[in-house]
Amino acid sequence: MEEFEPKIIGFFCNWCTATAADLAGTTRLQYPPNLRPIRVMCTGTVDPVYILRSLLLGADAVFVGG
Amino acid sequence: MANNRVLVVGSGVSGWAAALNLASSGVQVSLVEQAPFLGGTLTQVERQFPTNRCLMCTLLPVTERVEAGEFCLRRDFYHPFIDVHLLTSLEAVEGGAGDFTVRLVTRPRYVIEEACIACGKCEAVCPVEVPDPFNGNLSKRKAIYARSPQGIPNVYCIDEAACTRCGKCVEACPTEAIDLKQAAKTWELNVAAIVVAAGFDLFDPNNLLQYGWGRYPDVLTSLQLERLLSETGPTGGDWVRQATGEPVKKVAFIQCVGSRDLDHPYCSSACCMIALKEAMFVKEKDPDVEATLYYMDLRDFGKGYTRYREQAARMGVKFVASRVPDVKYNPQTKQLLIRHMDDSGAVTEETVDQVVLSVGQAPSDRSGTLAGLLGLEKDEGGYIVATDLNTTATRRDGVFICGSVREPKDIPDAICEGEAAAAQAIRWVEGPVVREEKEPHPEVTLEPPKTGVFLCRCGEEIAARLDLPGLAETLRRREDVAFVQEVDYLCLKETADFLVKQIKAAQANRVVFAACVPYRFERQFKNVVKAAGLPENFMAVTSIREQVAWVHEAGSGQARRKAEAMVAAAIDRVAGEIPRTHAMQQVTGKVLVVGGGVAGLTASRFLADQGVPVDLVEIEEDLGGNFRSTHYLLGGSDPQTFLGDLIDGVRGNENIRVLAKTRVTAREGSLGRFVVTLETPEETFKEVYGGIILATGAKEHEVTEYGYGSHPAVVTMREFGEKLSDPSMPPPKDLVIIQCVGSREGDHPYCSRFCCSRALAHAMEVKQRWPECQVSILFRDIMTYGNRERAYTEAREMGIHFFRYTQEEKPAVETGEKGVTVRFRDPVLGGQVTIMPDYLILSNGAEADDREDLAGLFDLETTEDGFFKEAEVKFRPVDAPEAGIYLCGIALGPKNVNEVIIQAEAAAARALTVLRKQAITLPHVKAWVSPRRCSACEMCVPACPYHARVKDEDLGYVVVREALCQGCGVCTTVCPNNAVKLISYQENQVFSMIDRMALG
Repeated sequence: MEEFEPKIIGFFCNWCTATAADLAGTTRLQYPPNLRPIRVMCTGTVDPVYILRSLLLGADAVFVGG
Repeated sequence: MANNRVLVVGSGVSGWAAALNLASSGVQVSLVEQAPFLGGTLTQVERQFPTNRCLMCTLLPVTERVEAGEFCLRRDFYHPFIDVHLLTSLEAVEGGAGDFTVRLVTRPRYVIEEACIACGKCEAVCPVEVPDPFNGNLSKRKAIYARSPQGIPNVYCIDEAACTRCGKCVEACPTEAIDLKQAAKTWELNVAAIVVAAGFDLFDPNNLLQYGWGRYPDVLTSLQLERLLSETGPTGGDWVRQATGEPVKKVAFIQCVGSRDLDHPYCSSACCMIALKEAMFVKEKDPDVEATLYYMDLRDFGKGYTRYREQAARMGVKFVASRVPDVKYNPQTKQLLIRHMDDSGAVTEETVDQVVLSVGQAPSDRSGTLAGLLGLEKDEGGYIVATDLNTTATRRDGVFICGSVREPKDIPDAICEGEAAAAQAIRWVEGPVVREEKEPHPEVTLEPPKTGVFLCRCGEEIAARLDLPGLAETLRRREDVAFVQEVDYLCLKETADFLVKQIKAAQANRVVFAACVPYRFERQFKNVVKAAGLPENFMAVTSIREQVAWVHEAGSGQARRKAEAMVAAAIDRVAGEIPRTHAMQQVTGKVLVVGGGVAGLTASRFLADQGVPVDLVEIEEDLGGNFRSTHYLLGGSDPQTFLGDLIDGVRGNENIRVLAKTRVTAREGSLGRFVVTLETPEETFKEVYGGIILATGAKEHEVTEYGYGSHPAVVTMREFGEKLSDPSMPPPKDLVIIQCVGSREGDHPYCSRFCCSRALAHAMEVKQRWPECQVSILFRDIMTYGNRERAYTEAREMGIHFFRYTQEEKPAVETGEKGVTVRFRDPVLGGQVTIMPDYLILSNGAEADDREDLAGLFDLETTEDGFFKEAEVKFRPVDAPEAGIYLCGIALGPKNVNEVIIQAEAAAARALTVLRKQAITLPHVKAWVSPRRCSACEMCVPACPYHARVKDEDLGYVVVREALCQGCGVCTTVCPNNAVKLISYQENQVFSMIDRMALG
């Protein structure tokens, strides 16, 4: 059986998490590509509907970073 | 010649505050920094006390965020009015205020900034390794380096002293960005004023051999510990014993290293709090770590700092009031031995794993050079001297100083001074400046979106790790994609013309740049899009280098699908962009100042001198506030002469209308146009203002303890000052002063900051007048921070006695017919002391006034101690949470009068950023409300962190105060009716991004 690889949708705050994701790149910090990033100006904008839609469309998890 | 330019020397936090404030006021700024990177000392420090968070971005301008770059201030610093010159120092100054000619020297970086793509190939081949000062020399870097992953700019530079000129990096560089033949450039600039914010140097503990720094691996400086605790530090946040790699079980913080001694006659002001913060951080890492602070006086004098100390104590941080003389090393256990003396004089030895030296802020070499070439005076500690009452002005007109270049200090004070210096500098600038209206947006066709996609190969950085041709092929299958073009280097300036041509040729009406980090290049790409005739928001940048190529396995299919999803989502998002509309907000060029004490008077006079009409409202009959009862200050200035001059200056100023016995009873409107109702004894009327400054002061703490009220010889410090100012006062023989009466304990867990200075000023006045008089000061911690320390030393030399008491063992006071008896324990001699003084003087602090009325009107919150809350305690110290409202003086928290003056000038400077303009141009509206859908439930009103929402009673629905909206989108989430649209993040845009991410 194929090993389970979750698909994660991430909502990244422009001011911190998106910056951190770029910083991870600058420092060549390796991590799995399962996390799909969506940059938002503030995680305050992450409507619960966005999370539900992500899960309904097949995301195994949602990450909100702010 | 009209000169609208100011030179700011130094890009630390104070220089930034000055530069940003000037730029926001429409002044051109040349910001010079001698280092190859921006940001000063603060860039090495990740989190600040008392919030334990970073929050540096709150320093960015509120109404111009889009223009100034909407990014973390550790990655980008940009304002269209600020020219940044790195590696540049001031060499000579000619001319005078309003018309200086300055000569500057820019040293070579040896790396062409515009050409460097920060790929790091040069670093990999560089054979020279040197200790990295950014990490306190705990790690190594190469001779060619980029400062930490967070340097601004994010490009490389060559350490001239370390480089051997081997040329390996030149060969390795894929963009020919390295030029070893670069030479220093001397150039001239004409400026109206100069702001010196040259900062400090950390004290070098090599000068104090007894602590063994540099010899014993586990003796660190506070900055070294800061770096070790940092995720971006030398060990990625692993904090262990340097000698053995084992966990640290016991750590000692030694305070006042390079401060408060014979050679360094000043207190560095921030080290106590830095040590507290670091002690809390190590406790966070491991709660079982024993962390102890060895201190002389624990100086928690800032806003919220006493509560912070209590928080640390609750976490188990220990405190010992003792100066540690030296550190010894046990070579067997590799542990450290420290000694300290308890109250009785008994010496205790402690074995610890690590010692942290709280190194102070020493005056920098360059401040000496700058003082020399600008003709400024230095004090005995080596700091540049400001004029009387410590404002930011110097003895040379048009030259201002701010930050630690004039006295060691903490961030909020450095920022206030930066802003105050900006306000001072504006006096010399030609103005006022009215911003031109923005160029109109280009006409947008209503044709369906056709997106042009540029994939940056970044040489090999992306191309070698990600299948770009495959990615391009997939994307080309989309009908809404006009073209997909691979480009070697999207960022190179010479590529721009090609990009524009390509967009035009393919008639694309949207553009996506799949490239690296947006910080430096988003502006550049926006210009490309604009040159192609499209609105600047019809584009997106997505980081496939930093977020895919550099972090995932090369050639991996998963990574490729992630990149595809990211680009596809970006295409979908720009497809949903709609043309934005400019908004213009008219500004009423008039200001309301509430409060006629020193803060309100200073702000009023300052703005009036700049030609701004001021209404100064005072609740009482007379002006002057609490300061009317101040008769003595440290430093010898005469407070009442100063106050008298200030009041006369205000009364005689034709731009100021003083409204006595007046209250503010209502307010409507917001930034640029506040409509305020004022109630004078005669009438009630409405007035319109562009900005509002609240300087409502505070009251004296009412004393109930130590027999106050039971005997006329028990007096408050203010009452004693009044007696002392009466020349007929009979000579006293014996005086006892008790500090911290109603401060730093119980219901008042804050330091009132001015009481120690005032006690010293009074005690020294007594000693000067009557040298025979015995003066005893009973204190818990003496708060003579910064240069006030010199007065403390002087007071002891004059023979004033100081006795430390503790909260647990307070002095006992008896009053009776015979007089007052004070009994306390002498911690040094151990015995009980009894004094029957002529006066027992109680140093009582300040207490917040109940100003619920104003808090309600201006949407202010108060701290747990009842003082007004600023937008952010460190980086926005005089802004109210709502833009256009500014706070200053002791309404924000107790402080000394020079700090009140600086805060008032800072508040005036902040107000000028609005008042200097006739209108604020808003680059674009961020959120809007659909009137049809809004049910006026008003849930979004309290939810908005920027006070950008208000129910319009006439319209019957909620409207957005456009100047205040920051586009965070909280309103969209709370709105139950989907009535809010967030531009660029409309629901359909986010949905399509989610779909791409979930299905791709």
